[in-house]
Amino acid sequence: MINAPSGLARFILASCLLAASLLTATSAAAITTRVDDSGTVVTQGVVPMRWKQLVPGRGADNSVEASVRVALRLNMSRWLNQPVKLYMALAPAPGEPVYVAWRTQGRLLPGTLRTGGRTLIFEGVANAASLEETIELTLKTDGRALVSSQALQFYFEVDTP
Amino acid sequence: MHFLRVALLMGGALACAGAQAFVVTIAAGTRSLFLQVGSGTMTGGNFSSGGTPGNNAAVNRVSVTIPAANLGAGTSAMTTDSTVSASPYDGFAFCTVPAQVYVGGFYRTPGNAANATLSVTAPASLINASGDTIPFNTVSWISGGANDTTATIPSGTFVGGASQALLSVTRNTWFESCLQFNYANTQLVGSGTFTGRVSYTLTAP
Repeated sequence: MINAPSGLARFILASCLLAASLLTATSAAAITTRVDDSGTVVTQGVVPMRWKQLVPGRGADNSVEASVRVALRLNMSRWLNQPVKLYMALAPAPGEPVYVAWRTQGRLLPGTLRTGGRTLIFEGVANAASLEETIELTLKTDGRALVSSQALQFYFEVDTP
Repeated sequence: MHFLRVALLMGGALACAGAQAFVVTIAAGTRSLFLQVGSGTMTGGNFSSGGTPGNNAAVNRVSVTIPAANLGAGTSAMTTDSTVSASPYDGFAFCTVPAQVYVGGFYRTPGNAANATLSVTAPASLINASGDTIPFNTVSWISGGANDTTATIPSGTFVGGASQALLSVTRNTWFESCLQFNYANTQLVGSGTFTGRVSYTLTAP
């Protein structure tokens, strides 16, 4: 004997079926998953931005910039020995965009990024459960718009085919 | 009911697999203020080439000598002992010496702060060793600078005995002018050297 589901259960069932179909559709292209980077350490709690040009003037640059070193530790265990595309992303933030460029020690790709975007930093087979790399971020934004401290949230995503 | 419980558990599991992120907190650029009147000190080139300003305590002199025969004969141009003709911003040959005194600076700040103010304070009079005086409002200036069609700091006359605003300095801009001082020379005064010190001040809100 089969009991007919209640109204709420029917709604959840329909939602799950929809979600399942979406997941299936997504997996035909790629599945994006957030990476556990909780072992990552930022060397400075607060990074003071410096005017790129101390003095404003005729057509002068009003941007501020600073560099900070970050020791990345990404938990790649769930993709071990699988081909992955690893992206670094910077969450959207209010106000003027913040531009980021970074150098690496070779395990990850150097690149650039702005708030709200993401950039490929690794493509290949994840051959270690923990991906460790030290990167140096250079941050730049319009100094006239940066009035108070602003928290920039970086995160990592893996796209698997 | 059992299905509902499973669905809720699934929802909880998805929430647990939530975001990871590392956070970099950036702090605003510092505020700074710079004013040069006459002599200045720069090391490592001009501002535009990365030079660094230093404190310069020199007080320049502006003077004119009126022969007895010319007393009260009308405006006489003054000259300065300042040798600064180039802008500290980029070295541009801006002022003519010894006719003009260089005045320039900037106000750097993040945000929408109000403008800075350039002001000048002069005593009521110039005075000689005998106590004779010449009102400071007999000294005026004409503002200019090479290639400036309109002078940044307006021309004017000292009010004497009070501070007077000369220019509202827009944040994050450079300003500069060359001031040519003149003595009105409309009165007969006793002999001697009449002196008085003028102070320029740049004030940020």
